[in-house]
Amino acid sequence: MSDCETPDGLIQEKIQNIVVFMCNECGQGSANTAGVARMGYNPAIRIIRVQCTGQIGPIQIMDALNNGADAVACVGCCLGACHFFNGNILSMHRIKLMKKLFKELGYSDQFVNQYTSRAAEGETAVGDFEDIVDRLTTAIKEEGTIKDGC
Amino acid sequence: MTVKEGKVKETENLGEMVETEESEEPRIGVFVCHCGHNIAGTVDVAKVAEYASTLPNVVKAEHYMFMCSKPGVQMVKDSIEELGVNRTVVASCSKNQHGRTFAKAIEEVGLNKHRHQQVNVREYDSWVHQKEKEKATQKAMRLVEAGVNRSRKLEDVETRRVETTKAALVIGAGIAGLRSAFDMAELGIPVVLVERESTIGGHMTRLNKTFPTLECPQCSISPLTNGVANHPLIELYTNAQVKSVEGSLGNFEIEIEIKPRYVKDNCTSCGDCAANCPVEVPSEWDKGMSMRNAIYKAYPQAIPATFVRDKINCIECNTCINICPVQAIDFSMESETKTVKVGSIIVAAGYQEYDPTEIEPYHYGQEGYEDVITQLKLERMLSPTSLTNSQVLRPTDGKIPESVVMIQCVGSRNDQVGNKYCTGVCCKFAIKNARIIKEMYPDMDVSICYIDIRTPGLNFEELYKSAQEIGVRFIRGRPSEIIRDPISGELKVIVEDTLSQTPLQLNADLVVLSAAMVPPEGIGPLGSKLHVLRSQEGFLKEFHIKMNPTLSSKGGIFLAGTIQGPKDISETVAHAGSAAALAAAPLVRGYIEKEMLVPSVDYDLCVKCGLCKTVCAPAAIDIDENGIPTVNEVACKSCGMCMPVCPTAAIQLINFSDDQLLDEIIAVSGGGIVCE
Repeated sequence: MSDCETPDGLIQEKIQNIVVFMCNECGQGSANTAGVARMGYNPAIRIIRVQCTGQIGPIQIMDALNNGADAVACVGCCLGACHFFNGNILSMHRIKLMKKLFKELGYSDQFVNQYTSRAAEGETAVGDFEDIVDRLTTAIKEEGTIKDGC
Repeated sequence: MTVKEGKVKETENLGEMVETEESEEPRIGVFVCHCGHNIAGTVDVAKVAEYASTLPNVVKAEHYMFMCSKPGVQMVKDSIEELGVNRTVVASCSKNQHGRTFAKAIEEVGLNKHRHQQVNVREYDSWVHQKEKEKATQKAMRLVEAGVNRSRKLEDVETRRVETTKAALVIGAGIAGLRSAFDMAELGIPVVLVERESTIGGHMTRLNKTFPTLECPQCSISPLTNGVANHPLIELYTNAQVKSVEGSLGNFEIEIEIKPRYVKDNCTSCGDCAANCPVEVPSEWDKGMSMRNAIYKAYPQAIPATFVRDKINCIECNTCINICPVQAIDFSMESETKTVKVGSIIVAAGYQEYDPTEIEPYHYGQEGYEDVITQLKLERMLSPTSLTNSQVLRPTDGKIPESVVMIQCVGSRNDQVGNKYCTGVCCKFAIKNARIIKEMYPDMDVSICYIDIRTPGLNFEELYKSAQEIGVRFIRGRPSEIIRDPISGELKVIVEDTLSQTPLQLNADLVVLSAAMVPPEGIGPLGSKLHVLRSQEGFLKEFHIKMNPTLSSKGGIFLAGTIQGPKDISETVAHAGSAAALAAAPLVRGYIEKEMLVPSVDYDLCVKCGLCKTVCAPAAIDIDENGIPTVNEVACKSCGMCMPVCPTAAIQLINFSDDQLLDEIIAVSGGGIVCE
């Protein structure tokens, strides 16, 4: 945990890579809709297309953070609208456990998050991305980046 | 790999199936698309291609104006034939848009289509970072590297044939449902037609005249209703609803709940029961413009012609049972559930008229404002079978009104209340009705308050012109309020004519609201049973607005008519025909091709815990008595949920395995291990 305050500009510079696992259905659908509507967002957002957020486990999340990602997020379908029944809920529980683990290890629990979006609405994806960046900015301000911790 | 006919072998060990010549050295071809200025305007494509050429295993890296064009696709094909490229990476648009184009192209020259990796640098990059060109280029380079990494370990995936059930389900028997059911039945496909109401025909049977030719809708639709009712291949269920939907494209299993009519099929439709029924309630079919009995037929030409008993309003006096000459009435009938197996589903649930009660200034449905009606009620009033004998009469006093004011865009084109979209047909039917009224009563003042008159298409502008010529008054302005004189009870419409900038108070003996088309009641539960997406407005979402407006978000489920969005009758019929053709294709062909994108189990690592079975939603994993899991390849939906729960990573989804994802993650997250 850093003692001195970091200026906002520096924090923005520190945000280079945010790995977002997006499901094949609503997740990437909403990102495509956002693209078609030319809705801008932070270029640090990097999307990996997976079949379902239920496919993403601690291995993938840790791999991403270990390889230089500043934060990881999973974006699935809305609750109750998973195209594979309940992958988004499984993923949500998993991320909740990951957050606990992060806290116990002494990191901020904002480095990993779960979101939902709707393929028909690009705003949902962009809103998720903005929230990821906001939370990460706050977390870096308070506790430093995940790289500072190691 | 091409599809091998009839090759549905039982593979015990899936690991064997996916084993290909692994010793083969990956030779990757990278192609960066400019997409005109869409990508090249933001991303430095030359730099990306140059960077790609430095990556290991990349033997060719190029950029080209339009990769999806014929020369572009030929470039991909040539690289395979000339340079021996065995994996292709195209950095262009989304996988949904052109992924298939390139996959098909490499298949044509002998590569498995799963050897193609699509990198989306348009929707995910250039279109969303238009102001940050440097960063967008950096991101594109990362994404391309990720694609190359992923591509390096891609395995061949087999495509197999799955047989389809030659039958279809159509939900809703309005004009769209009837058209698509009939079209499919004519192709020789057995159709199950499910209708929520007691009669078929939907909204079209309620109309008086159809625009622009002022034809009788009942005459236009009756060949279709009769055709459907008498077609040997169509099973019709009225008073029925879909209870549950299981399965996927090609093989659905559907439970239908059929509510009782309380009248048996031997009903001769003589009408003695209704004539002697002591109960009278407003008719729902007639939009409350006439009365019906507790045992009734919605309208004289109704199909099926069998009467139906309204259990809620029936007082059980048993008069009808005693009077029926053929003893068709039976109060003990109960609802039954029927299970049908079909290959594709068409949803033609239609629309409902927007309820204007939420627009407070128009006072629709409030006491003292009974003379404010909607267009559908006016249609019922004008119709030849109406209680008013097709005259226009004020609901309050039964007199012919001296002035009629129509208000457009009620529930449409409004950001505050109702919907943002333009229904698109209200202008046309308002003009049509105004013209009909003006022709009937030349002395009557007929005005239409509009924001914009939208009459595109052949013959519609002529209809508009003819209404203007005949003396219908068009006032440009959205009325702010309908007020009522408390003493005389007269209604006045307050509107500003925005063309002459004069505030007006229009005397209105009858106000007709052109209400919008909104999604029908109960579409939420139906949509969730079908697992299809809905648009922001509540209609069911189509797959692609331009190129595939009839397919829903789920394969095998098609949309017909106004369930996809507001439409007029001609558009609905065309839409329904297209849905029927698409839905019939896999059934006529007899099979679908399923990609065997399924998990494989490493039995050396498997600890027989059975966790994979617990998370498998389509129940595609079977566990035998020894605890060994096997994957049902046809039922598997390739979600990969079984992967993270496996404690030993023994179950891995082909092309999405931990190993394959890791390579992509490394490139995307910036590469280089941070902590040891």
